[in-house]
Amino acid sequence: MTAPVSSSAIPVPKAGSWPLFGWFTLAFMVFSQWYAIATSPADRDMGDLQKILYVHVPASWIMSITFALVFVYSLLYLWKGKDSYDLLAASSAEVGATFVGLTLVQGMIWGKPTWGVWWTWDARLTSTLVLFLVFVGYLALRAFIDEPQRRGQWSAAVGVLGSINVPIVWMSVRWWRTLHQMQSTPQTMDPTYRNGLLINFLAFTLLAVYLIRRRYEAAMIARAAEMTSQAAALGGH
Amino acid sequence: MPPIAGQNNWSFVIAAYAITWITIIGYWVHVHRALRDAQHDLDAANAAGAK
Repeated sequence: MTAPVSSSAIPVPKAGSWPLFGWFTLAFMVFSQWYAIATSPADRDMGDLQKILYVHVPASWIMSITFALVFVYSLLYLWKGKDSYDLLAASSAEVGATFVGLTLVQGMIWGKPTWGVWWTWDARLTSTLVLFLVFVGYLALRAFIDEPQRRGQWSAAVGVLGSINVPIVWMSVRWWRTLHQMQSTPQTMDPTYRNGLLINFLAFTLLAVYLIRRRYEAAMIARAAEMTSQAAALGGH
Repeated sequence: MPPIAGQNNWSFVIAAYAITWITIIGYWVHVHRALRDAQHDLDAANAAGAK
């Protein structure tokens, strides 16, 4: 776990009780998944494949909320120019890209026995893949630009434009004829399966909050280290 | 919908949960390494500045 931050002229977020929160979240995820699997009978149509729902739908939910955060923090950065907004957007984008990649792989695993193919160029799958590629590009862009202000501005622009794809992904099953089913939400589900989904929504949300917070903390400490080094180098001349 | 309800599809269910946990643990480790490396860099920068 993280060592305490040493004294520095640049403020950095403290770990505080976040490590404890992280371990609680992991334990809660194990419980949530066990609960969902243990309490859900085999579905009439899907059989036991229905159990993939409890990790696939919450992962896609995380994809949506992280890219909403990228959108908001990118706009705030463009407006206010504060480093912390840029780093929050970048941290959310990294977590989001991870979960959208996971959603795609889970979907392929579910698609093979259901549709008979691992992949099809269906509107939902294709728009999700585009979202994934946009945010991989966003992270690559950040890696290529050294100057923090220019990096922040460029990535904020890509973040805002890329996040516009999220509602397209969400609505794709309504706007086009797709192989993918309509969205599963707690309102559209049989009560037998609802609690398992709700508890996993909560577990995945807690996990995303934890990961974004710790990734942001790492980014802020790294930025402080960079600025301290620059200040030391200038002071030495 | 193909008649899949009667089939044994547990291997796909296990694969989906396995990839989920591999991703979560893998990213968790990545984040904590980033924290450790950043803290190390900050300590080194502070030490260099104090000289």
